[in-house]
Amino acid sequence: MLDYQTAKSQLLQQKQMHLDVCYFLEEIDSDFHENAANTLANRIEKLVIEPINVALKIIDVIEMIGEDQIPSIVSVRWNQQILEALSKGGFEIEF
Amino acid sequence: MNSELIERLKTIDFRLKESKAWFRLLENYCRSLNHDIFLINMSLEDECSTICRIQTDSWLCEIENQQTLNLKFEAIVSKLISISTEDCFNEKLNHHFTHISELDASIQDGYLSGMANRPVDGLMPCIIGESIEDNICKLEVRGLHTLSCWEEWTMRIAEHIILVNKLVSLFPASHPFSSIPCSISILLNQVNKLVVEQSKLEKTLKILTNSRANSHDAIFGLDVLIIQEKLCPIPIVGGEQ
Repeated sequence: MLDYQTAKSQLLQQKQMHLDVCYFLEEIDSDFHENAANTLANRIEKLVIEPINVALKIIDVIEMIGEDQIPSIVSVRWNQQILEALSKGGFEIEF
Repeated sequence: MNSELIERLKTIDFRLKESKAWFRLLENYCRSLNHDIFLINMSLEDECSTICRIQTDSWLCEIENQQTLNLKFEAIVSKLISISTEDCFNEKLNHHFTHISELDASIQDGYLSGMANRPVDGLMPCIIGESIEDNICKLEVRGLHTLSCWEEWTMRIAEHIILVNKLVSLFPASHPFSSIPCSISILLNQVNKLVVEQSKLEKTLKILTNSRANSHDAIFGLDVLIIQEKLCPIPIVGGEQ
């Protein structure tokens, strides 16, 4: 079974790390690099930070419902979404 | 000799009447269980509850069969007591003693201590304790209340499982009742898993569609649809077809 508390803390760390990268990229004002930096920041937000936000909301709902009260049909889907977010964020966790 | 025979016959008569009351108790419980399983089956339309209904029906048939034999033996014993009291005993009545002697042997064999090693038709092979009687009565009374959610159904099924498990241990392997409560217990556990899953779906849907959690709507829209598709209607009390 997935350890949601560990997953949550790792997701929060990843989110902060990627937000810092985005701020850094958005502050680049060199004419040569600005467009590329903005594009990269947008890509990070869409592909990494958004799935992390979804995963964090899923964990919030799981905590609200109770870990052992999640229906099996959504549990599989939600676990997969959390693992994908963790994977995209650059960490692998053991479960 | 005659007075001893009359005493023996009176004991058999008493035990037959006692068994009749217990058969009636089990019959009432079976009908209550059958009704609950019928409602769940109508809602879930699954194989487990269908087979559980079949098994409960089989048990009801066995109980009715035992009740018929109980009444038959009770009538015979009653007549034999009257005949013996009037000193009109005739050797032609001997063949009636074949079954009566089996009943007598079972009673003498430890029936009173609830350890009948030679169960016979028409006589309950065990003592149904007061706690079981109370549990059955409580379940029947609760059966009159309409359950409003799947969570309440999980509690009802759990109560049935506890009671059926108690009944499983009462009947010796050679008795016609022995395997049926066993099968019902196994099937009820399977039905319970499905009911618990429905309860989880119900609870999750309630939280996901809660007005306070509106921020989740966009993310969990697909989950809500999946849950709504899988969530079966709550069993409603109605007439059995």
